[in-house]
Amino acid sequence: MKTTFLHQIGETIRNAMAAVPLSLVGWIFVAIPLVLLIWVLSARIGDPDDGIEPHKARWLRIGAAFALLLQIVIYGLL
Amino acid sequence: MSTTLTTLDFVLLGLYLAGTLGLGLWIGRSVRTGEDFFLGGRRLPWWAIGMSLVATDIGGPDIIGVGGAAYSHGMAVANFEWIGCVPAMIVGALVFIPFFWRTGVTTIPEYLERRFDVRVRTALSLCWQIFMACNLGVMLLASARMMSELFGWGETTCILVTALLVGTYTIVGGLAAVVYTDMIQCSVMIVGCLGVLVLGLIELGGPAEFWSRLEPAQKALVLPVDTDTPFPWTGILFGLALILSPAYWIGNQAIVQRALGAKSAFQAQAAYVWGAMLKSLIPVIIVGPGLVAVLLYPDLKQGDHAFPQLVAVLLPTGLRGIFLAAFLAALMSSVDSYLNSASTLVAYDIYKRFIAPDADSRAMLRVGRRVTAGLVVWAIVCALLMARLDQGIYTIFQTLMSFFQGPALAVLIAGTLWKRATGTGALVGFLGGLMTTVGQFLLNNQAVCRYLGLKPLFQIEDPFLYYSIWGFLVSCCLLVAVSLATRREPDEKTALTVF
Repeated sequence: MKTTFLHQIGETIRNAMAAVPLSLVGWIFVAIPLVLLIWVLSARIGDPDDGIEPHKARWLRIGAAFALLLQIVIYGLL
Repeated sequence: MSTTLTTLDFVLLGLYLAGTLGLGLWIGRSVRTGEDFFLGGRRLPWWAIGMSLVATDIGGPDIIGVGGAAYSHGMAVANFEWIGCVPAMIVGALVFIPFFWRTGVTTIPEYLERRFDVRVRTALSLCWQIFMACNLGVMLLASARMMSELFGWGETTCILVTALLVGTYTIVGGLAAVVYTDMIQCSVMIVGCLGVLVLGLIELGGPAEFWSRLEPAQKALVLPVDTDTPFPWTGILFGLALILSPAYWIGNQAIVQRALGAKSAFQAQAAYVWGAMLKSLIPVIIVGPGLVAVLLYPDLKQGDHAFPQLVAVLLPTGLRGIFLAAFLAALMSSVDSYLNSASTLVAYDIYKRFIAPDADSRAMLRVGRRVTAGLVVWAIVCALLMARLDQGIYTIFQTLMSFFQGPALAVLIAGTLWKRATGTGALVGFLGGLMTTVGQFLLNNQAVCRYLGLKPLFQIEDPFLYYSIWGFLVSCCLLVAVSLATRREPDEKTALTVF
């Protein structure tokens, strides 16, 4: 079976990725929702031009934060 | 493993089907214009849209396919519902969805014409139409296999009955009928699958016993690069979480169309957030039974047999009818959504754009209904043809999507976030990315590799997640290079179409 330069590129990347410890990868999976949670809690949510009042924006923020928190718990525990 | 239904099962199933059909037809009475048909008159509430999003995403292929993948590969398949949905839904809710809603477009390709040009719109729209048309066949086939497995009914009969039932209320009621019936279907689906899970756990001696008997590899969400499953962490993180998922939740017409039909931008956002919360619970009810089946029936020939086996053996009389209703609910909620969205793409991106630009709202309603009817026929034919393939149903679906999702996301993100992106750059980037993914698929195909004497390009089975990564990267590179080499779009064009 022949290989091409595409196979060699793939093999190089594959070896590099295989060298990353799985425990570190697990933390990356936790970090994604965590970073998003921080963004959700700090970002300006809702545009007054769309008729989104502060209390509605607050509910959006709470809902989004709850969904992300669940992800952090899931990936943190499993 | 064929089993029989009792009168009680048939009564419950009949009640569900009659209720769904009745609701769809009743909603259809108030559909008078194209906007009513395609966008529910832009009057849809967040709670209905949120449940519809989940029901649309969890189709028949998911119940059979995800349960089957959990049986074969363990819990890693739950990533598709967790990190493969929730982060993208939240970003979509807070950034992209209100933006699209404010533009007042009916289809995502329509937005791309406003931002770029008609070539980009048509290329994207055609890809979505082809995908949706094939996907309709995949979904119908999933249902047919399930019903054939369980009850010994003929696959062809199952395909015909399901298609005609869903087609009827979708043709009459349009998006509003789809969304409100989805809401009921979502509830039925959750109850039915939860019932299977609970009975399975009881059979195993409870959740603690179930969890303790699973192998560590079956419980792992993060799998190594050299795993023999299709879910190595590199594919899940880079292919699914960062590319396929945002492409699906931000750029899939069948998904975004619901949000475009919301009463307000806030309602559209709230629908996505509500959907994200529900999504967190979905793996419990569809991945869980697959894992239960591993412990109860470890010798099944195919993972796709896991759910049918559980239903045939565990469920008592009466509950089989409820589960079958749940399965049909999952199937119908996805088929109706793809029917409605595919007809929207054809009606707006082909008919109104090229054939009859002056078509009024009533004409669009007529076209929408006729196209939907045509798609029902097409879906039936497609399902019958696909029945000859032996590959996992879920894999067919994911592979089809991975061909153009990465390139489509590159175009959409560049369009919304980068003023310097040009129409030519977007088109070249999209087509280049598409050729990359199809080329990779061919270079990984056993028959092609044997003919060329080449080693397959990827080392894992079904590397659809990797196709999307490379498609996205190649698209981005080409898009940037060609955009910088071509004349920038006028400011008046980008003023309202870029953040």
